[in-house]
Amino acid sequence: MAASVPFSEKELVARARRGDTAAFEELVRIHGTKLFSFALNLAGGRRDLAQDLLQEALLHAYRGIDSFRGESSFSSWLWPILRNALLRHRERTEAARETPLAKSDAVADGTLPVEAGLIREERFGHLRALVSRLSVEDQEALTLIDFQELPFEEAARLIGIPVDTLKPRIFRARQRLAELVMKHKDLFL
Amino acid sequence: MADNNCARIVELLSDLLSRELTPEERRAIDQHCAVCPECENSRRALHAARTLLREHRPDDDAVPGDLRAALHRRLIEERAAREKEAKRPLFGRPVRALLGAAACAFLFLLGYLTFTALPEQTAEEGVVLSRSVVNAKEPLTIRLTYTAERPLADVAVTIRLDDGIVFHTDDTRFRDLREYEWKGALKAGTNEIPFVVEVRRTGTRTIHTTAEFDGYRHRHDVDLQADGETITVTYLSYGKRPI
Repeated sequence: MAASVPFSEKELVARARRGDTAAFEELVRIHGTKLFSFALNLAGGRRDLAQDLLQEALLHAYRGIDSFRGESSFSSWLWPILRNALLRHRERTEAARETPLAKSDAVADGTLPVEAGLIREERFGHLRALVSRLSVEDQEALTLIDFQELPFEEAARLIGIPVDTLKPRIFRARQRLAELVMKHKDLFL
Repeated sequence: MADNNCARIVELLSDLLSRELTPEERRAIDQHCAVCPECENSRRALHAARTLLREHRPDDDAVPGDLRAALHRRLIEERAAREKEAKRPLFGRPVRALLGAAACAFLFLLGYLTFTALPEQTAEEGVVLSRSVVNAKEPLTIRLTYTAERPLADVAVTIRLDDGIVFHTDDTRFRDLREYEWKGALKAGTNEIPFVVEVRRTGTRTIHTTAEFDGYRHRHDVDLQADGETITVTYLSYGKRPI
């Protein structure tokens, strides 16, 4: 039996533009991990919120897929759309004081209870809560370089900036994260 | 006990996630942290954070199955909404969509001829492009297919309904409209204008359309022969005449 040949990304995009939802879902499967990682960082590690954010952002992208002209890769086109959609959502929820970043706010106030023997996942959640306090540009860089371990070239292409711009940005993002970790060091001891 | 070197050590520790410290820098941190519990705790916290980042695997952030399932449901709903929208009468849609859809040269469904291919004069009876029979109980969707070989400016399209035919729409602006005229430019390529009508009387009635550009008037009609159960839909071309 002949093995089925997967569609190229270009073919998937063409199908998605014609309304093929399965093709769009396949594109999400291909790029989903990077996207969800970014949503998790933006949501301070809260998976339920990250899921809601990403779902809304992806629907936004699906509705606007007709604007994709194929002049760049699909992921390069998709990334800023998702970044802006996630950012708008965060601004709305923060403005409405329905903040999904309650954990982060608590961290910023130093009021989170410190439990002895925090398991790794909990500590990692605290780390993400701190990451969510950074600027979106810093979160973006940390997500792609430190959380997703992408090469600089690929991360820079995705964000749409030169590698020479990304390198100092990730350096400063790590410094700012380190400053936050030191400020809230009790969470990690 | 903290000493006045704390600021310098904190500065060095800030780089702990960003770069490898030099042996001299590490030695300075060691010496200071041995006598400063506060900075020692900062260093331990940063080591813990660095370990967390290093132990994290990209696949740990894979899209959860329930998100994929929820997205699947939402996409299906989105597609259904789009299809429903496409079936709505032209005149019930936002004006923006109306203008955009009308910006093209036109032929009726199944009549894939370009305007330039039309004869300059045809018989008064018209040329049948297609004929089909549909259920009279349902609103009737008419799809005008517009094809232009090149962009065309200053086009006027008029759609006029005989008595007994009404636009099927919730939009009060168009519900009682008998005739609609649009003026604008056409783009090259093929486009569709779907709109929905209701045939409220039996007998033969007509939807008359004309498009004017390049000094010619192009005429197409849709004859609707209704017997109460079915409607026979006939698309006719009358060619073009000099204006």
